[in-house]
Amino acid sequence: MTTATLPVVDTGTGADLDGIRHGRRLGNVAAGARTRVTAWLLVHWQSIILLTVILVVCGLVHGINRDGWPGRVNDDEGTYTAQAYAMEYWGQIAHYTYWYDHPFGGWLLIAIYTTFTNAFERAPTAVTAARECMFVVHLFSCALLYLLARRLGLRRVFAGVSVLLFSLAPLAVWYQRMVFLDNIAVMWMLAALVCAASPRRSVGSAIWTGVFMAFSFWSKETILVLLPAVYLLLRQNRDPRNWRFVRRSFLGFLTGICGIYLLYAVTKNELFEGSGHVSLIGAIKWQLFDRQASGSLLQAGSSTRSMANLWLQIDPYLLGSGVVAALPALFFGRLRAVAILLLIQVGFMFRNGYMPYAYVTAMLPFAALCVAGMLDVTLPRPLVDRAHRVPIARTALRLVAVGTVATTGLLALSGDWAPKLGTALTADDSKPSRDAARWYIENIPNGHTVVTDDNIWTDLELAGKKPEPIWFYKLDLDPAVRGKMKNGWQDVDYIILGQLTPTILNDLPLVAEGLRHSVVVKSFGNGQIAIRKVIKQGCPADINATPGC
Amino acid sequence: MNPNQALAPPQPFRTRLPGTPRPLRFVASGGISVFVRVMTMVVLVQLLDIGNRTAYEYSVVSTTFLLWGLDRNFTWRRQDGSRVWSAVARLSTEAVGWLVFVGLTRSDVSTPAVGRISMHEVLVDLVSAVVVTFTHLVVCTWLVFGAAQKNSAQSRTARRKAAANTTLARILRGCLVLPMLPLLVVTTHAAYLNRDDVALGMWTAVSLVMLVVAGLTLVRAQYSWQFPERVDHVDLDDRAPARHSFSLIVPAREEPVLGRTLAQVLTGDYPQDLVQLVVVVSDDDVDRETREVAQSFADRYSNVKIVTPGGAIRSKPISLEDARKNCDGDLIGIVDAESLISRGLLSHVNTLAVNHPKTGIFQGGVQLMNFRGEKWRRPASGGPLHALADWFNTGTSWWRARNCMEYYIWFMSRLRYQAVARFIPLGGNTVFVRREVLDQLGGWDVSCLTEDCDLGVRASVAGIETTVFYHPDLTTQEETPESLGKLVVQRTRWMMGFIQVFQKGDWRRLPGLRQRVLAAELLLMPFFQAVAGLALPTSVLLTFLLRGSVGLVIIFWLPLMVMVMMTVTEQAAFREFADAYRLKVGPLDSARLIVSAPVYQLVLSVAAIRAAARLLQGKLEWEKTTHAGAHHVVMLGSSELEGVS
Repeated sequence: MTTATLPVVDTGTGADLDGIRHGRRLGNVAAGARTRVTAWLLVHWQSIILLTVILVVCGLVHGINRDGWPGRVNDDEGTYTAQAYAMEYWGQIAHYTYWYDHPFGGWLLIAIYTTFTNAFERAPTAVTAARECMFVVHLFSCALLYLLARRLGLRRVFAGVSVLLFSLAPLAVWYQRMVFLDNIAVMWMLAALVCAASPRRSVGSAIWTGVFMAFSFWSKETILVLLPAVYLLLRQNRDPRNWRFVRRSFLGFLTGICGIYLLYAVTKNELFEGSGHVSLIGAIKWQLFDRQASGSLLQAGSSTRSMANLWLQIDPYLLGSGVVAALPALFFGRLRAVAILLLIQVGFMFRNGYMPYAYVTAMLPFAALCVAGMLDVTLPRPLVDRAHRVPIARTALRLVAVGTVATTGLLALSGDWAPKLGTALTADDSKPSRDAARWYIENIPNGHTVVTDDNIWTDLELAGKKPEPIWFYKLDLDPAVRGKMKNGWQDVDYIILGQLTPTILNDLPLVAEGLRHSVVVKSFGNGQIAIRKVIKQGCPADINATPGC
Repeated sequence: MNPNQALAPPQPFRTRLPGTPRPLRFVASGGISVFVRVMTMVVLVQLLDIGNRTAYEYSVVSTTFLLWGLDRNFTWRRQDGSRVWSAVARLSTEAVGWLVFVGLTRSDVSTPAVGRISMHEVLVDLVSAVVVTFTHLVVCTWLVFGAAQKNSAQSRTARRKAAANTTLARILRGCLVLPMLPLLVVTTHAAYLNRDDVALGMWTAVSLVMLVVAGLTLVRAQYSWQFPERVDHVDLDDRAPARHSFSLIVPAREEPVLGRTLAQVLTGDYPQDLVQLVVVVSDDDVDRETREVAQSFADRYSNVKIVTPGGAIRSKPISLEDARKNCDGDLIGIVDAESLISRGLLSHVNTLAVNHPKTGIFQGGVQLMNFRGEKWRRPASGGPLHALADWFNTGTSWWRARNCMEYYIWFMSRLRYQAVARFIPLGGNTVFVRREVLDQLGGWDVSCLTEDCDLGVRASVAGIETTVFYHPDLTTQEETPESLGKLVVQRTRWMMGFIQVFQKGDWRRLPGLRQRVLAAELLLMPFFQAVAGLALPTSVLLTFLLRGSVGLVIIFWLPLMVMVMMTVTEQAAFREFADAYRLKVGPLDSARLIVSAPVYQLVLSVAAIRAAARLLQGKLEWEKTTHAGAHHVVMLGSSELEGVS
């Protein structure tokens, strides 16, 4: 495994020097730029056309009905949206006390997007606005994946295949449409990998690898488990003449920018645990040790197992073929890093730790790349050198293998994916939540305390509802919120919630108590989500007759 | 038709401006100023919903930025005047305008609504704009650029300068400060009331500037390794036949090691008939020993020439100038008396000169070698305190590795970048200049403390191409200063020299804006280094004492992080350095290099502050660093040198 494992493209590094040497008059610079753009177009026109077509297809599939499907199945979406809202409108890191659950780079990006595009003011619901940002993130990820595939030496067709697999798998549509930090982290991760595989092997690209990797960390800290594979790719692509600088610059910038997170905690005096304030170390301890583990993949009945089942139920093909392709891919230098990126994540599922809902997101691009990469490896390249003629039988065998996989793949996928994508493009599963928010805004006047989930929280905020709505988790868990509710659940007037599991209700006694003392005012989507009025003590059940209640 | 004509770049707008008569120029620039000012004011009030007084201040600031360059490039085109005084004039007239505006708008405090501008205010703004613009024009004409006298054909500039330097003009110029006083009082008072915010704001600005400077320094330090193809740029196998003749100037002052240096050159591989050695030794008693050494060589070798100028003041640039007249070779090089040039150097420079006929200057690498100090011996006399001071000064060697790395990165990487960017401060030796180029530039500036840097700046202005080459086999190996104190003295001189060159202002005539910015950045490096040394303590103090917002604190730390990245890069460079010279370095050396970084930065700060102090006191004489020949001991692979020494 040497530097030859990756294709070397000699982009004349002297070009920029010439620019400096021959004067810097504006006209010359413009002329130079024009020549460079023309040269670039001449070299890359095939890729540009292919990628444009693919991006249009992916954009259509991901763009149409992106608010309707999936429905509001996960409250995290609302949380990140609300935090982005807090950043844009309040200049705060979170809408409640920030407690170092995740670094805040992910929703900072969402907030930047919504600020510059006015998305919160435009979109029908706040989550829709954040999903719009995810859509853009997805398009960037697709382009980056194509670039990475090309830099790993895949032929254009297979680079395109990898992007299509990554984008059109129902699992991908499901997760990538939702507002998850993992999507943002994956985009930065792909950017880091693209830089790591840079054919120029410059110190600068190593610095960018480090910077993007750090951005990835800032979006979702768990992505750091993939660091060894990124380093491996950088190392595979190294040039001995500047490897010392490349390596150190990568690690230096990575640690430096990740270290700002520590610096942030230190400045706020929230690094170590202490009474009366949150702390970074406390949060890490909780994430690593105290949080309830989801069990290993091997344990029947564990939540990890049921999560995996859910994924396979949505789409078994991409993940399955990816893992199958990753094993042989380990033996091909240029695919090794990608295979390891996938297998590390698979490996972590066997460990008994906490399994986040969106865990699978970071596996998808690498699964797609492993499949397309193995196809690329198997399909023989046209002979250039006649002296090294390969036996015709072997070539034929490889052609047949690729042909078989391609045909079965096309048949199976069109049978399985088409109906699922059809649902994705048409089903409006978010309607109940959207309607509930609109109904509450239109029918309940200001002056009522409402406890709600995070999806709707931001909508009520944006509608200017006073007093501030309360995110139901915080009613029980945030001392600052509890302090304001002197009479406990009796200070709550309305509750907008979906179905909560008994385990969650066990942790939230005030919410549970409020729910017990409430009647449904209006219910949406067959009881998926309901607006309830809390009946305070001393009030008759027929609340409409008693004005004071 | 000449094909090159079609490709010639379009002339810049400035040169196409005809010699507009002055009254017309004044009316035009004044009119533009007034118009832009009033329009900005109206737009600001209508758009931003801000109070009128604030809007006035904003409009002044934004107009100043918008019309940046109008004064220099149009109104007073091709006229030299002190920039400081024109800035003072600007501030002073603005202060008057502010007073006019405040005075005239005081009556209508009860302006109906914010965000609406009344006709009255527009008029007041117009009045103050006219006052400001035309007072400024008049003041600048009389006091800064000097009033021109009619019919003075030849020395108009000189007359204007003379007019601007009369006693009356000086007194009036001093009076310019007066109108600023009320504004100054108000500002000081406001700043005092918000002193915490002011401190935080100022340090934020400093941090951002330092972030940019540190970032640029980092990128340029990595220049040679940025792309793998850039690293090995010297081809030793490429050898052209000896064609060019060399004149090597050896300025010597109390240099007992001179003999070794001369012997080294004379036993080099370049044909002796093409090498001329010009040794400059003064004829005073201090240099008698050195002179005798030189004389013994001159007796034996016909190509060694001794120049013994008189004169009470001796300095390196004066010696170089004395020697220049005696140089006959095509290429004039400088060899310091204490340094050993490498064997293949002259043939390589000859090759470069043959291969690059357009290049005027060839700069080779100079490398400090002793990254570890010698063993310290306690001085015979003096108490424990004295011993401790002596140990700290001469016994410690934590800074030596850093000093070596500075040289390595400077000559291997930074200077190569500077050569490509066409602004290069040359090194003090191992530099070879074509004789005609040196004559074209008029030789060295004898009044300059860093004549090497100055020569480079003037060569850059003249558009002379420079080639920088660095190869471990071709570097001139030198030693670090004997002690920390000597290092500070040396640095003080360099920094004073840089500031001197900056003040001389030759760099302003560089052709490209980017070159000028680069020049300003490089020549002001002493200033940045002073701030860099103080950055860490100040940021820590502000973080914990003033409790700024988290965002600000992170901005404070950003330049420090880039400096950390610089030490990371130095680590890589240190290993390269060790490999290149086959030195054995251990993890301890690397660790020391990291730990010493902030302290070294402080030492540089001290030198920078010292340089500023000495400049203010007007002390411009040389503080020379002495040499003991330490590198001759440390250097590996020096068997061929031992024979000569």
